[in-house]
Amino acid sequence: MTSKAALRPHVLSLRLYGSVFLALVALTGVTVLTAQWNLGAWNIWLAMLIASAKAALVLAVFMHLWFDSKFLLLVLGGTLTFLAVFAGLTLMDLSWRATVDAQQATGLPRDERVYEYQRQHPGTPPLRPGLREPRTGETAH
Amino acid sequence: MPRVIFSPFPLAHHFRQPRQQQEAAKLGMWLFLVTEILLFGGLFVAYAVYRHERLPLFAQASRLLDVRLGAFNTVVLLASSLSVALAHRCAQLGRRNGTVFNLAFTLACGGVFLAVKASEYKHKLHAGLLPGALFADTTVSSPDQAHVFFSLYFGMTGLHAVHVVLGMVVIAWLLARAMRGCFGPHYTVPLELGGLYWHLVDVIWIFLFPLLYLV
Repeated sequence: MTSKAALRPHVLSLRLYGSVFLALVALTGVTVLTAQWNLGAWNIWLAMLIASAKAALVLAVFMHLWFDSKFLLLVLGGTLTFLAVFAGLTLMDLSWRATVDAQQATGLPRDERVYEYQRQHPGTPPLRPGLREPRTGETAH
Repeated sequence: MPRVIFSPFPLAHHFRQPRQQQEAAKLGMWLFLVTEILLFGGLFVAYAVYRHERLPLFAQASRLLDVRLGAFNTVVLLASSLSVALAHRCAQLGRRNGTVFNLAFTLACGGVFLAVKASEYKHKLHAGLLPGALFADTTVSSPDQAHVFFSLYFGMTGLHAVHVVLGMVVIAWLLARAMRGCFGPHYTVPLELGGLYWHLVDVIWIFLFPLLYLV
């Protein structure tokens, strides 16, 4: 019996599968509950933390990553790293662009923003390369 | 030299042992799955950009979705993830009926998920909560911008639903094979790989749910 069991690859216990499922359902409840609280900007981070915990449970147990070759972790980790670079740089740009470009906050498309700024501030330097004055009759896109 | 083949699937000549062959198959599946993560990653970043620009509007538009339906669908997908993992486990233990039952349950869960999604889409179609110029709801504060949320909503849940449909095709194929008794303790690779795909679809929904329904 033991030798036969040794041939079998990695059978996880029902108890483990069951408790992971219950934890996932409980965390779904938690995320619905915490969404009712008003934590300002922290709401989204809390929701993403809970979602990441749920995803980690699915990946580790249901998808066997915890028990499989660590090389698969490298593949996944590499992907997530590059995704984080993509998302991180984009969000950094969004968050701090206004401190660099004072005309950002008007909500107009870039060309018109610059034009509007220059109209209100006579004597500012001419349009930067690549920017143009809106043609007559042109609407915001 | 005695040669023992554990799997009904022949060992390809460029592999040393069945185990190596299995690991290679799994690595290939994971490479495919990470491209899926990158595909959805682009949409998640697009979501982040628009949400950053108009958060109050997103909060308002999100309240037009039914959280109960979203939460219900989350639990349905979680249950289907559990059952597909159990189908694999049953095959590992040589329990054919268990495999068949669990795969059938998974397929049913996929059907329930899509049915709920379809009823949500139908409601939005009637209420005019549609992407782009089709947006016709007047209760939000700036209807000219709220369509952005629904463009993302339909783009993301639509692509996800396509994945659910494809996953169901895979599960149905696995179910047919399981009923013929193709899988056993020594041959579970297709079950495992199909399951990985299904779990990934579940993981994506885990992120979509709070982002869309709980802004």
